[in-house]
Amino acid sequence: MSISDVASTEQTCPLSSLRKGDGGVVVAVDDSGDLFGDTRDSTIARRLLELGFVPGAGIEIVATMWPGDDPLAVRVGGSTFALRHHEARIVRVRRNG
Amino acid sequence: MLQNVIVALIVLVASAYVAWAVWPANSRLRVLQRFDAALGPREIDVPRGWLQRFIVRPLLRLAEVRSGCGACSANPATPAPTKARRES
Amino acid sequence: MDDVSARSRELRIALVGLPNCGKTALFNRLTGSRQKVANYPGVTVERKEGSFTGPSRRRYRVLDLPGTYSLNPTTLDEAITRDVALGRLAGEAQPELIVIVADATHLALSLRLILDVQRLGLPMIVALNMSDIARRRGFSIDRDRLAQEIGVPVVETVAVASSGAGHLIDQLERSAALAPEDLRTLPQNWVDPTAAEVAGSHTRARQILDAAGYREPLRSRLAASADALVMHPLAGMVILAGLLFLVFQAVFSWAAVPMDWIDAGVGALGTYISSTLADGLLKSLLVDGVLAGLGSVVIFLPQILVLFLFILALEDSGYLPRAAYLLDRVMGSVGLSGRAFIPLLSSFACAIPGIMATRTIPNLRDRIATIMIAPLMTCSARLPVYALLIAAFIPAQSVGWFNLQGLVLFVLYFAGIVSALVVAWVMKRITGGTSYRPLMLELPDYQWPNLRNLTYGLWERAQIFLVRVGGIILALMIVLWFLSSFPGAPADATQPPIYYSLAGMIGRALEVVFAPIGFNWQISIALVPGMAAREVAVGALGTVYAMSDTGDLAGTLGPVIAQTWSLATALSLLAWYVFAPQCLSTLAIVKRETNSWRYPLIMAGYLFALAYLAAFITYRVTLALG
Repeated sequence: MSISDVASTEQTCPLSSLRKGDGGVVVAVDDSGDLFGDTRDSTIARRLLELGFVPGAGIEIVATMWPGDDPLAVRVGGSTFALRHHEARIVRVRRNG
Repeated sequence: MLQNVIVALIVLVASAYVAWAVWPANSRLRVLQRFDAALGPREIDVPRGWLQRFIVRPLLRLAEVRSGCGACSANPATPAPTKARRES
Repeated sequence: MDDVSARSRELRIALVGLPNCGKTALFNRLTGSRQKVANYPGVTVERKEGSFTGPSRRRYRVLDLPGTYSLNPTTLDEAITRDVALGRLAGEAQPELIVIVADATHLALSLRLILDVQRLGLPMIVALNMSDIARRRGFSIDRDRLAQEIGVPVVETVAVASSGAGHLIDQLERSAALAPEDLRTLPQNWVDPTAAEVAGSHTRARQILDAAGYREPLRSRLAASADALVMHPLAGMVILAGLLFLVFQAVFSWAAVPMDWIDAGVGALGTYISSTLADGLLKSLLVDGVLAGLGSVVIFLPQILVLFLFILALEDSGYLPRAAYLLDRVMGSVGLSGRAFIPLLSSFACAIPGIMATRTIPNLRDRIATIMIAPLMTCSARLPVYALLIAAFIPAQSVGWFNLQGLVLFVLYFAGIVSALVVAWVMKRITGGTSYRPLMLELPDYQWPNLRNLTYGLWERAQIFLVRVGGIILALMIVLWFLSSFPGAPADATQPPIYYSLAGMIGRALEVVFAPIGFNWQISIALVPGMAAREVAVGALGTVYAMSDTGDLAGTLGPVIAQTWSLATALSLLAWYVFAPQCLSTLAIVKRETNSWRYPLIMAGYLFALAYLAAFITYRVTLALG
């Protein structure tokens, strides 16, 4: 089952494009990406799912680092995680407001 | 004369301890285990048995803490007398 | 079941839980000091087992499994948790009962793991840990309802309180009293859950929490403001730098008075022994060997404690992952994983736990890189050496707000960090590869450091330090004294007797190697026992100089070397110490963790080379500048 099917038609953007203070709702986690070295996207995607980045979960960007908003600190499901740009890019969200 | 004897004893004990401490943990454990096996099954009334019971076995137990760092002052695995520990 | 059979039936339980849930504190609470640390067969993951006896006299063997977010592993130690839980690990029996330690303040994530683990079909108990903190913050849940919903007993635990595991032990006794066959509830066949099932488990967890009336307070405004400041790109870095500065200033200023007390005490003891004992071997052993040697090291206890006070407080507070977040770009630019930060930080206390902590790094090449640079992080055993030289050669004056000595100490630590980054970068260039390193680091809640924890932690450190001083350091000082006393001086001696002794001969031989970097034969002698323990170099210097004294014990080590060494030599020795791998234990651990001789040899080689080079440059430059 590919979770990325859901993402295609919605007005979604990658989590990495959000800025500090933005909120949103997770739509999907794209696990079909390229192989990056020894860590496949699908492994990262699976771990992100386990951490709480599931469709329907609300997220809020707590902080971003300079330069380039990488890494960013995201609050999801009551916990806060620091994600690098590539991991955040895999998560597709619908921005609030 | 007595002074010299005391000093010699102290130096001997200290040297033995240093040798014990710098001996690689795994090799130390293996040598002790082989020594223990060579002494044969436990017999309390034979002098060999006392050696086994009071020296070799306790040493074996000490050597089994193989966390790798025999004397490190910052190693958290070093058993400390206090029972309360930090949350980690 | 009567008493005898209860006593004879041992139960194997395993602790499973998210990282940061206080599982290890609970493990310590249950097993006290009855723990055994080794390795899992065939892998370099630490195996922590302990035991305790319940009120029914039944014995429990507890295995503390590595923290994990799910039974689908991404790192080596998470794989161990899964394999042990499944009984798949060769040589390791499957646990008979699993205690899931859940963080009561992050129940949703813990509950998801609980649902995962339930699929194993093993008997379980859920321990709601940190329930005191949860209650204080306003979390509430109907525990009985929760137990009903998931079909597993749920107990509250407070790992940091002395009777905090009481409910858990009671429940264990109840669960264990059932015949083993009764404890199995589901048949066991394990299949990795699919992505959809993972998403589903989150939903189910939420449903359960709602049904059990779980109430979460709003995120604390204080925590949110703290994060806004601490994780701000600019303010955050300023705070980080400021914090480090504070630590090094404190190490000198807060410890000064206690150090004076210890100095006076050792001095008084020395005078007493000198005056009561007749001249002879024993007096020399006690005064020059033991007292001079140990005294030089013990005096640094206050400084080490101040350093650890900050290390422990920062660890407890939850600040460290945020610092890792701030420094992640820097780490990434030299090819290090962001996850490497915490192991490297542990290395500031001692490189060995730091090296062991690299097991949380998934990529093997990364892990090796982190292990190789861990010794460059200034470990606490270097502190006596640094402090001695700084106190002797750097004047105690102020530069603006900062005190010069603290500043120099900061520079030394900074040099260690910078060199580690440079080495990591070089390794990245040599081994090539632009593999991506995921971060995915959890930033736990802030916590006020628990005063009781801190006090116990410091007490423990002090004890361990004193045991070390009274153990290996004392033994080495005695051996060194012996080697420095025999053979005695010839009749036409011009130098103090130690010059002609065995130790003196070794020192003079080594001096050939070390002369270009400004080390005299006394330093050369001191470096040898320093391989067993870095602080021993200070003690050895104390003994060597005490025995070079033809008169009475002239004074403590600091002033003596201030008079006899040149500034160039002192700075050169400092530079040497920043890099030199003066610790056999560290090399031994690297061998164990990497399962080969290659890495420790490479490590020793490159570190000695760097040390020599740095000392050489420092010495020559200082001499040239006059």
